[in-house]
Amino acid sequence: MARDQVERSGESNEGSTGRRELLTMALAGMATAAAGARASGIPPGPGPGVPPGGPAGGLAARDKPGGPLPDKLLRALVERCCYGFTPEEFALAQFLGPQAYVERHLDPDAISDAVLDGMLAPLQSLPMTAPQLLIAYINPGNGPVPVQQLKHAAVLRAVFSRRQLFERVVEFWTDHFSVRQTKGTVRYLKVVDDREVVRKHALGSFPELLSASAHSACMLRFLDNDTNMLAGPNENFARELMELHTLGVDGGYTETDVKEAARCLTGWRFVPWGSAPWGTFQFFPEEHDFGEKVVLGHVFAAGGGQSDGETLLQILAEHPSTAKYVAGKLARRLLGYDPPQALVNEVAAAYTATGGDVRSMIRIVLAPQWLLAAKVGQQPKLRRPDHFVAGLLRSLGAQIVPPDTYMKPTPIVTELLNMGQIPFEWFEPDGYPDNEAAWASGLQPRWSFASRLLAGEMTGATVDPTLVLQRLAATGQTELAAAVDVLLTGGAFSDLDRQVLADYAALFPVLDWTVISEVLALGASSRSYQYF
Amino acid sequence: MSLQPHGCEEYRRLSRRQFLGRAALTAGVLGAAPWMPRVVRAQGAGGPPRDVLVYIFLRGGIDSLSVVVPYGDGELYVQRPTLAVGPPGPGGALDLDGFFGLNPVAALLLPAFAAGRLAFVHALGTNDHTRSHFDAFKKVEQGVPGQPLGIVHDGWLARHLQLVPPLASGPLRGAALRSTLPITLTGAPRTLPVSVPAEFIFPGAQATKAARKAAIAAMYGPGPAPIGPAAIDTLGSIELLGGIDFDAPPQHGASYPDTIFGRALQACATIVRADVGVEALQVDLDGFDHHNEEGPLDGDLALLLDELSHSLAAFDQDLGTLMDGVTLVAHSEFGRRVEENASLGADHGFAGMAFVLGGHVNGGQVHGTWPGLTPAAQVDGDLAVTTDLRDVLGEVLAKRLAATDLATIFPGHVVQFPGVVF
Repeated sequence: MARDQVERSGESNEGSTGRRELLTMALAGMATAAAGARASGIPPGPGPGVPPGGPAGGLAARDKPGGPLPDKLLRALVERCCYGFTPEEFALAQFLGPQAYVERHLDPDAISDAVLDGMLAPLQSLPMTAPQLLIAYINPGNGPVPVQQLKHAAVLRAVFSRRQLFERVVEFWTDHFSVRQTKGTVRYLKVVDDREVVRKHALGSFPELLSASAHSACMLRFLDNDTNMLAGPNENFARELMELHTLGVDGGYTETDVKEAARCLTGWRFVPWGSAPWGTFQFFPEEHDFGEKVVLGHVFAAGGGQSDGETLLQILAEHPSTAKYVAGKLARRLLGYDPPQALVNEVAAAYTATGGDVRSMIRIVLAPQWLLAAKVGQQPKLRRPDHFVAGLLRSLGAQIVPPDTYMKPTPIVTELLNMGQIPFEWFEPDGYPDNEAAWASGLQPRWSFASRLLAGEMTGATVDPTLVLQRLAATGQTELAAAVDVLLTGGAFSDLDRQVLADYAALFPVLDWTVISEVLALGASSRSYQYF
Repeated sequence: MSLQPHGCEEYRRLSRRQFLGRAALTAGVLGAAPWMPRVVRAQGAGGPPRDVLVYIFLRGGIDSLSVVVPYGDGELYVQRPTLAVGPPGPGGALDLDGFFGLNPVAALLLPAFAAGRLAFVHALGTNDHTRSHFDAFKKVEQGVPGQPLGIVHDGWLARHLQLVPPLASGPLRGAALRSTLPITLTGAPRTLPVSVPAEFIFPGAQATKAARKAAIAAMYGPGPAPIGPAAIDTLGSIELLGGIDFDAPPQHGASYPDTIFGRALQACATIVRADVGVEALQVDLDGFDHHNEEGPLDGDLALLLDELSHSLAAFDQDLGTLMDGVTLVAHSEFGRRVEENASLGADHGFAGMAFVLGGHVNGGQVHGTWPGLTPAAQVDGDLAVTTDLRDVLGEVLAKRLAATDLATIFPGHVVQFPGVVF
C-alpha cells in the first residue's frame, strides 16, 4: 500500500510531507500568526474555516511539554462557551479575561459572522415565511428541502459561527422547546420557529421566549393544541408547557392544574391553510372554553377569551418553580451535570430579579467562581454528538463541502443521525438528553467519523493537512501526542491517553501525514476527548 | 490477533518489538485483548429456556381495531362507520376465530398464525391512561406505568439483563438496531446501539487496525462506567459482528421487504442464527400515529402494516426451527380511540394490542378478554384494558428467558401469566 512505500522511501509528497519540512513549515506559520496578533493587539484567527496558510494560534508552541501549563479554568470556560476547543477562542479568552470573554459572547450582534452568512446564503428556505415555505415545498419533488436545509444550517452554525455561545444557547432552547420537525407541517413551521422564536429570543427574556413559543404555530401543531377545543380538550400542550417549558415535573402542579390550563388554552391555534397568512397565531373564540378556571390557585373569571392563555403564561413565567427549573437546567447544560445548589439558587434569584433575563443567568453560571466550585475538571460532561462533531471539525479547521442536494440528509447530518442526534428530530418533547448514560454507548459512530474525516474519506467535509500541521506544530514522536492534545482540547487529555497516543506514534519511524492523521483520529476517539 | 499479513516487514518487526515493551498495548498483539469475543455458552442443556427476545416497539399507537378487527362486535361499525375494516368477505377482514379478523393487508401472517407460532393479544395496555406518547414511552419502557417517574432510571429489559446470568461470555448481550439505546435497554449490561450491524466496523487502514484498536482499548479499558465498559464492549462487538455474514441470503425462501425495518429484522435473524450470545434485540417501527386519513386498507396504516407483517412473516420463515429459541413481541405505547374522528383517523386511545411470535407461543388465537366497544364499555372514549402489558412481557421473560425476579423488573405490579407463551 502507499503508506509502506512512503515509509520505505522517505519521499515526500503532498500527503506525506517529511517531518523536518513540516516542522519548518509549522513553525514559520505559527510565528507569523503569533507576531501579527501581538502587534495588532487583536486575538488571532477568524475561527475555523480559515484558508490554508491563514493565521493559526500561537498556543501550541507555548503549551509544548515543559512550557507553562495552560489555564485549566479558561480552557474549561472556552469549552463551555463553544463547540469544542480552538486555539483562537482560547487566545481570545486569555486576551480578554474570563468575564470580558463571556460578555463578548453575550453580545453576538457585535461579532461579525460574515463567513457563516456567506455559507448560509444559498439555503433559500431559511428566510421564508410559513406560506412561502408551504407553497415552495409542498411538492414531493422538493419536499425534504426545508427540513434538510435547516438541519444543515444547524451544523454550519455550530461549526462556523463565531457567535459560539449564542449557538450553544440556541441549542439549549431548541431542546427546551423541542419539536420534531418531520411531523406533518412542522417541517415548514419549524423553519419559522427556529428563526422567530428560538434564535430571536435565545439571549433575551425567558418570558418573551416562552410567549413566542406558545404563540408559535410550530409548537401548537407539534403538541396538538390546534385540536384543543371546548368540545374536545387536548391537554398535550398544556401538560408539556408546565412539565417541560416552565414549572418542571416537580414544580408543584396537579393533574387538575393541567386540565384547567388546557381549558385556558382552548382555541389557541393558527391561521389555517386557505386563509392568509397560514401559520400565524390566531385565537378562535368559538373553540374557547369561556367558563371559569382555576390554575395553581389563580382564578380565571368566566368570559376571559385569549387573555386566559396570556395570563396563564404570565403566571407560569413568574412562578418560583420556573425560575428554579430553568436555572437548574441552564446550569446543568453550560456548567456540569451536578451544578452546586447555591449556584442554582443564585441563578434562580437572578431570574426573579431580572424578569427572566437570559444573559444575567448565563453571566452567573459561567462566572469563574462557579467554574471552580463546579469542579468542571474532575466532573466533566460527555460531549453530545453535535458537540463532538462540530468541535472536531473546528479544532481541525475542516471545511464542509456544500452538498449536491438537500433532498436527503447532508453527509454531516447523516453522521449526526448515526450518532443519534440529528438536529430537530428528537421524538419526545423534552429535547435530546443532557446526561452521560444516554450517549455513552454510542462510541462506534464517533470513532468511525473521526477516522474517516482524518483519512479524507468523508464526502461532506475536508481536512487540509497543511493547515492541521501548522496548527499542530508537530515535532517528533514524543511531542506529537501532546501537540494533538493541545490542538483538540488545549491540553485536557489524561496522562494515560496522551501516553497511549505517544506509544502509538512511536511505532512508526516516519511521522508522515498518514501517521499523524491516525494519531489525531485516535485522539478524537480517546476517552478524554469525549468529555469537556 | 496478529498484525495484518500484508503489512510490510519493517512495519511488522518494528511494531512487534515496540509493542512488546508497552504493557498497555501488549494485549493487542498477543491475542489476549479484553475485547476479543470468546463466545462460550454459560449453560449446557438442562437449564431453563434462554430464548432470544426480539422486541419491536411500534411507535405512535397502532390502531389495534384496524389490525385485529373485532368484526363480531357490531358496535365497531357504529363507532367507526367509515374507518372500520369490514367483516370477512370481499375486501374485508380475514377470519381468525369467528369474532376477530385480520386486516387483509397482513395476510402474510396467516401461515404462522395457523401453525400456532403467532398469537395476538387484544385489549392490551397498562393501568396508566396517559394519552401522551412521550409519557407513555417513558413509563412503558421503564416498566413503571401508573407510577410517578423517577422510581427507576433504567428500562425493564435492562433490569432483566442485569438480573439474569449472561447466556454466554460474548461482548454483546443486548442490542438496539437504532442510533441510540432506547429507554427499554438503558442501563443494560453489555448492550449497545447498533444501527446497522453489517456496518458496525472499525474504520481506517487495515495495516494499523490492530494497533489502533489496542490503543483505544488501552485508553478506555481502565475507565469507569458507563463509557469504559461501553468502549470495550464496542470493540468486542465490532469483532463479533464482523465475523457474521450479514450478506448471506435469508433461509427457507424467506424474503424481507427492502426497507430499514425489513433489513433490521433480517439482521436480527442473522444474529440469532449466528448464536453469539445475544439475548435481546430491539427494533423500532415508527409512524403509527394515524390521526388523519389512516387508510387501514389502502393508506398510511396499510403501508406500515404491510411492511410489518411482511417482515415478521419473513423472519419466521427465515429462522425456521430456530424459532424454537426465539420469542418476538411487538406492541405500541397505547391504542387508539374507539370512535373515528372527523379526519378519517382515530386519536390517541388506551388499550392496544401485541403480536407475539415464536416456537413456544400459544399461537393461533387472539388472547385477552374482550371488553366490548359500546360507550358504556369504553373508558373515557377508549377501549378498556383487560390484559396488562407487563403480564405478557413478564410471562415471556419468566417462561422463555429465565427471569425469576419479576417484581424487580416490573416494580409495583404483580405479574399474572396470561398464557401467551409456554
